[in-house]
Amino acid sequence: MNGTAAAWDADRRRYDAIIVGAGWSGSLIAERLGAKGWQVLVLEAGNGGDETWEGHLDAVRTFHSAVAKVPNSPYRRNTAAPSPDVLDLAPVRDPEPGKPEFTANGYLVQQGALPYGTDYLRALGGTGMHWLGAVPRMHADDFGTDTDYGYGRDWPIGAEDLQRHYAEAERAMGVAGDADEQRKLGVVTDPDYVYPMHGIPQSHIDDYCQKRVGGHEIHDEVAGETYTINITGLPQARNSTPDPRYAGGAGYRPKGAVGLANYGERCVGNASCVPICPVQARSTPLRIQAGFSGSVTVATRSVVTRVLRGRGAYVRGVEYRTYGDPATPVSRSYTAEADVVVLAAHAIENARLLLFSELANGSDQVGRNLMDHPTMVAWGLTAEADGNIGPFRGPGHTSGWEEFRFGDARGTRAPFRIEIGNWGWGWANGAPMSNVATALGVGGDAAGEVRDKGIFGPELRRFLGSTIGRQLQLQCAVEQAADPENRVTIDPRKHRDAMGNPRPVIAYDLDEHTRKGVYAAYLVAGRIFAEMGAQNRTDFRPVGGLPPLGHFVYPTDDSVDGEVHLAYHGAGHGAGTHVMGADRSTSVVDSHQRTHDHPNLYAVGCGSMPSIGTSNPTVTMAALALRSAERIHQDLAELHGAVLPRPRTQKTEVPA
Amino acid sequence: MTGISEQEFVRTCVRLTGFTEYDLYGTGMAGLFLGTARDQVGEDRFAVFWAALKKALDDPQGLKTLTPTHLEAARALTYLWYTGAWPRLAPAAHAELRRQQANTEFMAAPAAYTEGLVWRTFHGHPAGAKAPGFGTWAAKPPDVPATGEAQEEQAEEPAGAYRVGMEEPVALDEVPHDLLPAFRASRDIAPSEVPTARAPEADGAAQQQKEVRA
Amino acid sequence: MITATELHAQGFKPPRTIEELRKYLQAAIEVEHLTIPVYMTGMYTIRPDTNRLAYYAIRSVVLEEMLHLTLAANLLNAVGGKPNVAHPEFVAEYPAKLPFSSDELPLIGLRHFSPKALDTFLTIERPRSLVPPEEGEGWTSIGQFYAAIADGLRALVEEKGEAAVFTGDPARQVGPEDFYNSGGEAFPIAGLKSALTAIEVISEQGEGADDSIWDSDDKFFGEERQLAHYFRFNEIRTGRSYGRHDTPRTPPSGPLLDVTWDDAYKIHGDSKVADYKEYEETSRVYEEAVAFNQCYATLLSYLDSAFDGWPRLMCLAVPTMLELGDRAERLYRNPHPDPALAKKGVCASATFELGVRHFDAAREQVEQNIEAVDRTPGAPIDLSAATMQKREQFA
Repeated sequence: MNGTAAAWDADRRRYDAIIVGAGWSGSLIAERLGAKGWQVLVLEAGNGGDETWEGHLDAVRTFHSAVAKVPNSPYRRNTAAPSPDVLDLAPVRDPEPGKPEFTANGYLVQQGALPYGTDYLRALGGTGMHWLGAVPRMHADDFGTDTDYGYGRDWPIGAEDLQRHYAEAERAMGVAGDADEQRKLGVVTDPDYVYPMHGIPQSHIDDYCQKRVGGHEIHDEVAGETYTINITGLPQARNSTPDPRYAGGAGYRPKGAVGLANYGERCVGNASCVPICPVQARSTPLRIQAGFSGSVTVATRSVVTRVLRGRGAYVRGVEYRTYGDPATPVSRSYTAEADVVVLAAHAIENARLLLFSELANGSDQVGRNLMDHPTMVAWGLTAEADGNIGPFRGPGHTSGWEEFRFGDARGTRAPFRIEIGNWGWGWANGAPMSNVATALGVGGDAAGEVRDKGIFGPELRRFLGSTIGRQLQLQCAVEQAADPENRVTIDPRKHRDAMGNPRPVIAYDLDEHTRKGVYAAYLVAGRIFAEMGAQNRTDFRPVGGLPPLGHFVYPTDDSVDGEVHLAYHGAGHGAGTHVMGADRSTSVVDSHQRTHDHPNLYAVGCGSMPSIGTSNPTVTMAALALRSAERIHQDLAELHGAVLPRPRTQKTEVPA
Repeated sequence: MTGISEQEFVRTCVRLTGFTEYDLYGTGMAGLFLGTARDQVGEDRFAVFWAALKKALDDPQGLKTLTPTHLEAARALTYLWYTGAWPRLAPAAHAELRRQQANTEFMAAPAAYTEGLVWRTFHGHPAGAKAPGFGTWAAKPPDVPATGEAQEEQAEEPAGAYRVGMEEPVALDEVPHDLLPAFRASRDIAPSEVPTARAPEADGAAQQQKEVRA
Repeated sequence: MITATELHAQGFKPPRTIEELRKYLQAAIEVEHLTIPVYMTGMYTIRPDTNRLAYYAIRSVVLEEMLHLTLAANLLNAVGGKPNVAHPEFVAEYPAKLPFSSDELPLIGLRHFSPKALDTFLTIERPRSLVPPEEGEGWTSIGQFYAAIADGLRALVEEKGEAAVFTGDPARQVGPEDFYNSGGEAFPIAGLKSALTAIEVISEQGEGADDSIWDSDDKFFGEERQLAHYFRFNEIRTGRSYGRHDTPRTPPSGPLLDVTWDDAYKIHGDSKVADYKEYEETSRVYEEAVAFNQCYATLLSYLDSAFDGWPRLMCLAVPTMLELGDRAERLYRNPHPDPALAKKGVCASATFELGVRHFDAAREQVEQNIEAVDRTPGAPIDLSAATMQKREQFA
């Protein structure tokens, strides 16, 4: 890469393409266009720094020092380009019936019935800096749920249209997986395909689960169906042993850390993929950026404020502001022009920009259909006689139960994927630290008095060894269908950030189909625990009048109270907001993620997804980006006549 | 340092933590933790606490004999060894100690986190440090000490010296809910602020579980 | 160190026969290994959260020494030899004499992070160009030793033809599929060209390329060049970084580095396990120092298998190496079991003593785990049937 440019160097210059955002989508498209020789400007709102090893080590230390080890914890707060943080949300004690049970005190203004619990990161590399690296492809059934099951929105393209791009994305990101298993699931269709690297080894916990309940029947009461469960390995963008069969025997060389040579070429089991992989074996967009050609310029601390209208339906470029000190939003405004503008700034940021620029909204769908994978986290203690199962080791999850994703049950309740967690009760309870606190009895009781119960010494050590060593957490990621009322809006008169840009205003809720999926997952997880002889400890009831975030009461027929307390976490899978479709009156972008209203304006990322399916969305987003990159290259080639620019190999130095 | 040597500090903490002197020195944190605890409790009060703690550890009734505030300080110190963080104290203890500091959990140092003892109780490693190597997570972990083994080793100690508010040792196959954390209501709740789990109710998942097991 | 010591005693000359060449390469493996305990001691005696730049600089050198060790093993395998790293004579007793160098040089000891330790590091890595010309026929530097191997190799290839020299089974070569995360690329050696490249990498990462302060990673690995080992250490020793235009003979002229010598656990580097045994009743250091040596023997046993036809067995060596680091840190942080020394602030240390009994004791577990993993080249790595050691004891 060229290093990052001083933003004013780009002022009033003209580029072939301007890309807003240096996360996965923006980086992949910039890399492809750069390789074709196009002049590309990438504007990143947040800070750089992690592309150097020193900067990366600093982020690791910041993470070590954090009490709340949340996804954004390695990255410093940035007032000029704020990011939503899961720490922004707080529950309300003894909430009034019918009123929201939470408050939001961060970047996102939340006005919905339920909290949108998903964060993202505005920094070089984007949210790709703290993702888990789970890259299962979407299933063919995920693309047509409206037609097939009567809920959600259909895609204008299908899984088959994406296969080639999936494979390309898996090479670019560096994916380890077992293609045979994925073929069996039906998500990989090429009979000869192998992933670049052998699958990441499955954990001992996976093995334990398979030994205990593999091949067992689990009844899903809500769907009225019984499933025979077996674990399936998870494809991951994480360095593993290269598969010599890859690419017809050409093999694959893992790409390691950015900023330190010959490092991060394998996962070493740090067990902290989210928020940060200390060796950088988990892929990040910085790897793609390291391969940028000399015709790509990256400018950090460059906040795009508006997309500028050009002649007719065309846009001509962007207006952006730069700042020096992330703590003080003193900024200057610049413009840059290009033949094509690509918004790749995250679903919510793309919507915010389109709304403020008053563009691409002929369908009135911009900002609507905001989605996520509401995740019901169930936790249990495995049987004492089975001993230590080895939690808090390896990547976040290495296998899942896929059975509840498919089939006609989708018509009855939202489908879900069950991740078998490798990190104990970390997500649910703050384990293992909270186990130490509650076993000791530190922190006081509800009245603030010193607790009268607790253990120390050898008893404490033995108790923790046993109760942490047996922690099993199941993360059930439920598909949430597009709902136009779940939306991002802006209200520039009332809600602006420190730089003066409008803050996203969120309205969010779960519809009945999704809630039913959460409930079904809750029951299924309980049955799995019971089947394996584990004690189910899942309990979402308010404690001391404090309802957990994402809490809702679900009416049931069979329980004593006629209701059950449920709760969900945000999965970090922000999607919707500029959904794709064939019909310009009901969708924002076409299947190439080009806005229907503006021939040279693209909005890319998970925002384009009409449905989020039952897979972690990043690899689908990357496949879509690569598909768009081909289209954009064609656009530019057509625009410039038959004369294509020659690829430039020499890098141009831009002073940082 | 208030007349407490590092050696004396470590030897006393062996009994609080259940880890050996070698393990405690092995963290490299003894000096930092002594300093942190002294700063947090207050220099004079720490000296009083320390004397009370040593006396309690020599008493057959053990830590039960501490005042509630000293009990909370002993817990905080143990929490520091286990996690690298100084916890939030029970507000009543915080008030009685007349602490000047905010009563919030904080990490003593970046390396304090990676040297926490809690990970070693189950043969783990801190998340984000001391990585064990590619593919090691597939291997069966060593078993944690069985109940018998641990009790044998503490046979010299008077029964119940390490328990407060409980007559019998904790049954590991029927773990009491009030020694386990509840669902964390939000991510901004520090681990030491997570309340204990509620008693299970007889319906819902618990009942379903019983049915399936029967 | 037995082979290296023997060759050193014979005085300077390039290897003349294939047999001699193999001997030289076994000595090269021994010499590369000799440095690792020395650097590990310097690195792991740094107190947590301090001297970060120094820590990472030493660490980068340790990783590169691991690469050199592996490349030397590849060289030996390429010429039909058999590396032997799992026997007591492979390991030097510290303080050790640095072979292939002037007999005037001080002994190489295990020292905690300190100016003296850095002086030792500088002695080991001193570039040929900084070595004063010496009278007589003796060895003067490790760089000279590698130059002699290169000369001998070229002459042998000229005399017998490449195919007659490089007779090793290519399946014995350790490549990037199995060696990773470590200071450069382990590449297979198949002939004179790759052999000379390997020798060049080893010499230039150490002493610098073409009489400069820089190594040649830019040339070989397409990476950014780094300071050669000698100069990386000199930055720490002088507390100042090199500037872009500095040369081997000028002191570093760049900005100051933050080095705090007091933030280190002080040790008696010549402590032996036998010294700790006296205090077995009062301190666990003895037991842990033995366990460390045991773990070290296990590591060498895995490496031996990996270098002896099963490169995939590096998958067992790497986790053992990481365990060894954890064990080392814990030792240095403990007071010396002798109360008189402890009172003076002396800490325990890893002794790196290896006897037959250590290898014997490691054998059962090593053999079991080797059987438990699939070592077929190209196959996925699966440690699910391997046995993990229990590391802690109960209070």
